[in-house]
Amino acid sequence: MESEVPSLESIYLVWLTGAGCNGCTLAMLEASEPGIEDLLLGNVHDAPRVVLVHPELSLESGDTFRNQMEMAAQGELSPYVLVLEGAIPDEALAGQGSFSRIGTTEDGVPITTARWVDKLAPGAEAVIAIGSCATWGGIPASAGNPIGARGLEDYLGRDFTSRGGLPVINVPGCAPPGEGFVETLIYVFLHLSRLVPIELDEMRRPKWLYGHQTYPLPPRVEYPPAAGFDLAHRPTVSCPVPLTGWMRGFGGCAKIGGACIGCTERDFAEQLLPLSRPDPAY
Amino acid sequence: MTVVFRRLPIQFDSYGRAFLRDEDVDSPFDFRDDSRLQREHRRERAIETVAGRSSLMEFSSDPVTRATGSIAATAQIDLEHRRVIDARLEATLYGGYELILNEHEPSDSIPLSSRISGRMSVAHAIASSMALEMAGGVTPPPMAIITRNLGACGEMLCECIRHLFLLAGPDYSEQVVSRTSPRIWQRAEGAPAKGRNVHGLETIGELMRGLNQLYGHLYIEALQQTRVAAEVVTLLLGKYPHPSAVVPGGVCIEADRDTFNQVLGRVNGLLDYSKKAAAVWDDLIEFLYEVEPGYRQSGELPGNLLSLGIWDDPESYDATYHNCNVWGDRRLSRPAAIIEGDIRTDRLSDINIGIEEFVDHSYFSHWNHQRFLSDPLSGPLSPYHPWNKETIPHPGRSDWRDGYTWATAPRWDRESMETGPIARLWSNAVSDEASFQFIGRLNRALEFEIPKGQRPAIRQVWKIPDRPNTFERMRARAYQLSYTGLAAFASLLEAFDCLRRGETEMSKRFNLPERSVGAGLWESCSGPISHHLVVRNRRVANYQVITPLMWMGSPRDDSESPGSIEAALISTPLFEEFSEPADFTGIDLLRTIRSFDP
Ligand code: SF4
Repeated sequence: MESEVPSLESIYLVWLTGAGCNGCTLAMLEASEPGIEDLLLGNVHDAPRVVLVHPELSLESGDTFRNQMEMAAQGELSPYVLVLEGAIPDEALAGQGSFSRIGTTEDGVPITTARWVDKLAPGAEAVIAIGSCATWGGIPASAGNPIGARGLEDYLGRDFTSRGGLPVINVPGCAPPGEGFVETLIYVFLHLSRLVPIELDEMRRPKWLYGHQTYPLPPRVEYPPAAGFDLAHRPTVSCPVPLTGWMRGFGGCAKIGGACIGCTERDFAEQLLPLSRPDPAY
Repeated sequence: MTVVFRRLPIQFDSYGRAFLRDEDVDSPFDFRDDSRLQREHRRERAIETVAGRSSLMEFSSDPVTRATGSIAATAQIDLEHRRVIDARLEATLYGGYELILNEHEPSDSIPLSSRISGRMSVAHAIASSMALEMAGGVTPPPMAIITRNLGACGEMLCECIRHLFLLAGPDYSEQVVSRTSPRIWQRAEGAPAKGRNVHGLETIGELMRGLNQLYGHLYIEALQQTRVAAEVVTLLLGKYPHPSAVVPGGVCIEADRDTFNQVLGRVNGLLDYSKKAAAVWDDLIEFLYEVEPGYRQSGELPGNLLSLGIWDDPESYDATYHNCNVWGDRRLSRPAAIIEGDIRTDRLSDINIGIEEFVDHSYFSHWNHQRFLSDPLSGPLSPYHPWNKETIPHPGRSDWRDGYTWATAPRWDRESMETGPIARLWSNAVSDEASFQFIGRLNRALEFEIPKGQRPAIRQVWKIPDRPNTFERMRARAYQLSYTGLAAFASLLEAFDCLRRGETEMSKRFNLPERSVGAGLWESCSGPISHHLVVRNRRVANYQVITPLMWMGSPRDDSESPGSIEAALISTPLFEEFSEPADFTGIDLLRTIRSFDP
C-alpha cells in the first residue's frame, strides 16, 4: 500500500549496518553543500528535516538506541527511510551464534542484521543500499569467506517494493562518493513528497549518477600491468567518480594515477581486480 | 642488559640477538601463568559469592554507539558501592577478510585489506604495501615514502577530530552532562574557561553546549574540519576511505608541486585548529578533575602501552626486516613497548617477536601447526605469533566461560596492551631524543611549537600523566592532533626538498619471489596495524591482520586476564547521578569505552 506523505516536515533515517567497513558512513560525512548536517538541521529547500538513527552518530546507546529501531519496526517512528550499509551474512552458517548482530532478545538470541532487515524493510518509505557490500555483497561476498554474505536486493528479492512504492535503491561503490549519496537521499525525499520522481536505471541505481561509463585501469607505475589485460575486450564500469572527482572536485581513483578496480560492480574483487593489478612475475 | 621479556622465554645476547631461554624444553611457549590464572579464578569466585546481592545489577550496552567497531559491553555493577565488579566486551561482527585474502595474488591484499576498516583504510593499505615490499625486497623511492607519510597524517588528523568531537565529544556535552550529572552542569555554567584566549569560549558551560551533538558549534566545526583532513588524503591518494594510489613499491601519483601546495594550505589550517582543540580539552578535563577528583580513577590502567611507530624516514626505510630496528627508530613517531609505565624496548624486531594472539575466548578454533620457529633475524617465534597463526572461525553462542567475541586476544609479553594516541605520545616522550625538529623533548613531556596561522603561534606541552585513564586518553588524542599536524608539516618540507632536487620518482618496480614472508608494522590513529604475510608459489599462503580494536577490545586471554577495555571498565567508579536504577545510563562506563576510540 502506498502511504500518503504529501508534504514531509520531517523524516527518520534509520541506518542499519551489516558486514562492511563503515567506510560509506565516512564518505557520506565528507559531502558538503549540502552536507548531511544541512539535512539534519532542515536547511535543504523542500527536503524534510532528517532525524538520524545511526550507530556511529546517535547520542543514545544500547537499549535506548535499539528502542528507536524497534519503534520504527512497530510503526511508531513514522515515516522513515531505511539505509543498509554492509552486506547481509547468511546466519544459518553461524549455527547458534551470529556473524553480525545488533542486540539480543531477552533469552540471549542474537538479533542479526538479517533479522533487522526483516523487521525494518516492510515499513520503510524507501530502502536504500549504500556501498557495494549492501548492494551486491561486495568484498564480504567474495570467494573464501565463510559468512555467505549477500546484498539487499538479493536478500529481499527483486520484487520488493517499499511503502513508498520504490524498489531497493542501489548506490554502489566502495565507497560511493558522499556527494552522490546525499544527492540521492534528497531525491528520494523529494520523490516521497511527490515533488520530483526519482529516476533509476535497470539496476535500480540513481540514473544521473551511474550513467557514466569507465574502464578498470591499472595504476600508473614503473611496472607493467597484469598479463592478459586485453584493451579490446575489457568490461565497462558505471561510476560517477571519473567525472566528479572524489570530493569537492578533488581526487578520483584513476585521475590521480591510481587504479580503478571497478568497485561499483558486482563481483569486482573476482572479476575486475585482476585487471588492475601489476604483474608480479615480470 | 635491561629485561625485555618477563613472561616470554626469550633472552638476548650481548649483540642484542634474541634466543630461547631454554633450548631443550619441548614447547617453550606452551606455558600457562598459574599465578595469574589463580588470581583470576579467585576473582571469579568472589564475583559469584556477591552475585546474589540485590544491589548488584547487570548493565549492558548492545550496541555501544559512537564507536566504529561493532561492539557490545556487559558489566556487573555494584550500585551500592558504585563500582564495577566485572566487565566483558564483545565484538559482534565478523567480516572474514583474512580468509578472503588466502590464495589471492599478493598485491591484491592492498585494496582488499583496506576494506577491513574504512576509517583506517590508509593505514591498512600502507601496512599491506610494506608487508609486500618486505616480501619482495623492494624499497620505494623517497618521494613515495613521504607521500605515504602525508596520506597517513591526513587520515590520522581526520580520525582525531572525528573522535574528539563527533564520537566521544557528545559524552561531555550539555545534552549528556545536564542529565547525568546535574550538579556538575550547574557548576559548569558559571565556571570560567581558562583557555578562552585560544578557543574564545567564556565558560565551561558554553564549551559543553558547543559539544552538543549536531547542534553545538564545536560539533559542526569539527565535522567541517574532518573534511579538510579528508581532502589531504584525497589529493595525495585519490580517495578516502580506500585510497587508490597505494601500490607495492610506492605510490602512483605524479610528484607535482601544485598538489603539495594544496596539501600545505590544508595542513596549515588544521594546525591552526589543533590549537583550539587542545585548549578545549584541557579546559574540560581540568574542570572535571576539579569538580570530581575521583574522575582520575575512571578507566585507569597500569600503563602497558604499545606503539609500532609511524611515518618513515625516506633515507632509512628500506623495507627489510633485517634493518627494521634502524628504520623503526627513525620514524617520526617511534615504536615502543611500555609495561607499567617503563619502556621495555623500542626495537621493532623485539616488539614483533613479543606479539602473540590468543583465541581461547573468541569464536575461533586453535590451529595445530607451527610454520616458523624463528623470525628472519633468528629470534624465537611463538606458535601464537601472527606468522604462525591461522584463522579458523568457529561461531557459537556467546558464553563468558568459553567464546564470546569475534575479537582475538593479542598480547605483548603476555600482557594486554593499551594503544592509540596516549601510547604514541608516551613512547616519544620517554625516548632518548626528540623525533623531529618541531617536537621538543622535555623531562617526560613533549613540547610543540605551532606556528602562526589565523591564530597566533603557540607553545603546547603534553606531560606524561601518572597513569592512563579515560580523560587522559582524550587529552592525548587532542595533542596527537598537534603532533600529527607537525609531522605533516615536516613531511611537506621534505617533499618540497625532493622536488627541488628533482627526485620525483614515485614507485619502484615490484616483483615477488616464489616463497617469502613480510610484515607491515604501522599505526592507525587508535593503535597498531600489523599485517603478517606468508607467500608460497607467489600466492598468499597466510595473511594475518591485527587491528587496534583487537588490542583494546580483546577478551580474556589464555591466563584469563581481561583485555584493556574490560580492565578499564572494572576500574571505573560510577559517579553518575540517578534517582532509580531505571534512570542509570552508564555514562561513566560509556566514556571509558569510547576513550579508547574502538
Ligand atoms: S573510479 Fe573505479 S575504483 Fe574508483 S570508485 Fe569508481 S569504480 Fe571504484
